[in-house]
Amino acid sequence: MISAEKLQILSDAAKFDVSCSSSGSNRKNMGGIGNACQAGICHSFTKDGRCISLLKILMTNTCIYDCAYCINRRSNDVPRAIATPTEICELTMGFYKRNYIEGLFLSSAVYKNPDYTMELLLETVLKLRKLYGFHGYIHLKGIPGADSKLVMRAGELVDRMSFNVELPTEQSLRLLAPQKTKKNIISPIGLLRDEKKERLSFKNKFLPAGQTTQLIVGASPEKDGQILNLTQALYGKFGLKRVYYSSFVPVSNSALLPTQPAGLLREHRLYQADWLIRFYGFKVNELIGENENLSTEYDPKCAWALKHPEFFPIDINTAPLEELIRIPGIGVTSAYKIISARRYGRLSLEDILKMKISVKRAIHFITFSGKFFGSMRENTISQSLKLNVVAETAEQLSLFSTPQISASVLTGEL
Amino acid sequence: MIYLIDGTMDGIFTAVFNSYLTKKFPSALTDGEIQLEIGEELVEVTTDLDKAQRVFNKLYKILPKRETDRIFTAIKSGDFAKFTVIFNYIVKTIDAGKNIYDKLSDKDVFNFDRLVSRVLLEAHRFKGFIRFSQAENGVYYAKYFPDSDINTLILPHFVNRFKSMPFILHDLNHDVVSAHVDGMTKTVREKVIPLDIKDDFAKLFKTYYDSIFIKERANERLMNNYMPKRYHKYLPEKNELL
Ligand code: SF4
Repeated sequence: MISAEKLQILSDAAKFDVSCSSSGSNRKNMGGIGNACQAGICHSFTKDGRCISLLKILMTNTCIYDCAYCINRRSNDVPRAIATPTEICELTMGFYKRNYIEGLFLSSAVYKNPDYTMELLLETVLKLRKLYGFHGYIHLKGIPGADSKLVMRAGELVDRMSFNVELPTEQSLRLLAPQKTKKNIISPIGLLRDEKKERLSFKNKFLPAGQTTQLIVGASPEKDGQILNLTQALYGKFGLKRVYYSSFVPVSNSALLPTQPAGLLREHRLYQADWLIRFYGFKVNELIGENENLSTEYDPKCAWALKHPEFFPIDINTAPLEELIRIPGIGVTSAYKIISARRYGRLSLEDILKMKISVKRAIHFITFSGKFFGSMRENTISQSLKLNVVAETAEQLSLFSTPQISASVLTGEL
Repeated sequence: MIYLIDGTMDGIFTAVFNSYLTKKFPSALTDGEIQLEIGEELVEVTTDLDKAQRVFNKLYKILPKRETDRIFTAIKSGDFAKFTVIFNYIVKTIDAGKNIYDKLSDKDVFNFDRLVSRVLLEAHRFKGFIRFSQAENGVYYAKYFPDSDINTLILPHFVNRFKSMPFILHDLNHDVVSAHVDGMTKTVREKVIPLDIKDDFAKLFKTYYDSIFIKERANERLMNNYMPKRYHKYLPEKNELL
């Protein structure tokens, strides 16, 4: 069995990778151990409030590369360890059978060379599926620059893969991660996308939970607008399931990097905007210009509403879903509740309150069959839209979940 | 007037029948577990399976199966107000003569919806928070203390997942034990002494749990929102291990 020290080093080194989702796959148990749950399941929560769904671990933290923002970079003096495929398999099975986890998120630093590392990862997931009969969730990190045949083979075995885009522009990548190239990251994403599309027509399971990626925010000078346009392209053109944002934390005193952390609020605002793009029908250019940053004062939906008084007020009794969800403070779940309830008769402000839908912010933007109860004073309105930031970070619940899950107040399971 | 019932679904159905018969509707129902307000008249309802069946048949005509299932989920709640909430919902539905499950602006529908959601939320949470320990004979054993009586609700999930694994789910609050061996399951309702099993993997998991914590972002309040403190007792990662 793997030693506690090794586990400690290899999981500590993986903790800044923010994605943790176990959702989006419905792999069946074919007689062995494990299956995947479409909505994902959280098994525990860390003391920083993040969901533990997968065993998130590196094969090794020994790296030949020297990315400036990374604790595992070659030039950093940290304890190093490497696990064997068997150690990873046994740890995964041991944790899984005790219901500590939903599955494995296996990643690695670049050990010896990209192909060698990818082979190690592939060997591990192959063993886990074939030798240990594991049918639970596997998320595998792709190693940029590895042979595409290895990458494709891995895609047949796992539920989700991710190649991390890391930095929003090629210039920043060249500066901070000089051994990585945009091509090495983007081309496997495209290949996997094409393969998945092709297999779909044969009803063949290939990456059932698709691909995700991660961007580091605040290590380089790009503005939120630029980042979100990239996000939109990754969702649209490359069909990614999720883009994760990791706010930069200084881990070295490299002259290339800012000395200050990017802060949670910026990351939080990006997730909110991302959410609006994926589930609320917003386009990036409605929310923000290419060279702008998101408002720190207001969440992106409120900021949009303040700039678009002509869109309001919206009537609770007649507006279609896509308009209801543009009202500040009204989420998808509440909008659906409103649409269901109004089939039984006109809704009054009182009815909405009975349904425990908060109108603190919405009240200035809605009417009830023509009746308006809000304020016309700009000051009152903008004040009511400012939530205190602490309360809002607690609201991060929406960040890692899908609308269906947040509908049942379940969070953090993506 | 308050109805005293036996705490079963048939008891509630009988109460509904009696109410329509006498045209008198109670302000609340209780199974006698809670203290009553003084001055309220207490009427005992004797469960009558014929009456219960007639009420159920009526509901079955009005509601799709998904909805009648929800009523049987609701009774698993640990909330002492559940009898009243379920009773009022059934009466509302019968009066409406149709399925009004999503008329959430109605107080009775809303309360029922919330009651069911809470049971389902707890069941969902425990799909994650259940912790097995492996006993020497190879059987995996989990004990936990849920508010709602969810053992049989979550059992199918674990059976599907751990097809080839013998395991026991032990609800210490409602004294329910479900066992799974070779694809067969059996559930008994009786007080069984809980097992204490030392499992080395628990320590490894605690190591893992502690090492992925990002100290710069400590937020225990958020953690406790998602994973309420009352659930911590049987989670190895939240306890000192020997
Ligand atoms: S290749 Fe990965 S592990 Fe290695 S230094 Fe760069 S980011 Fe860190």
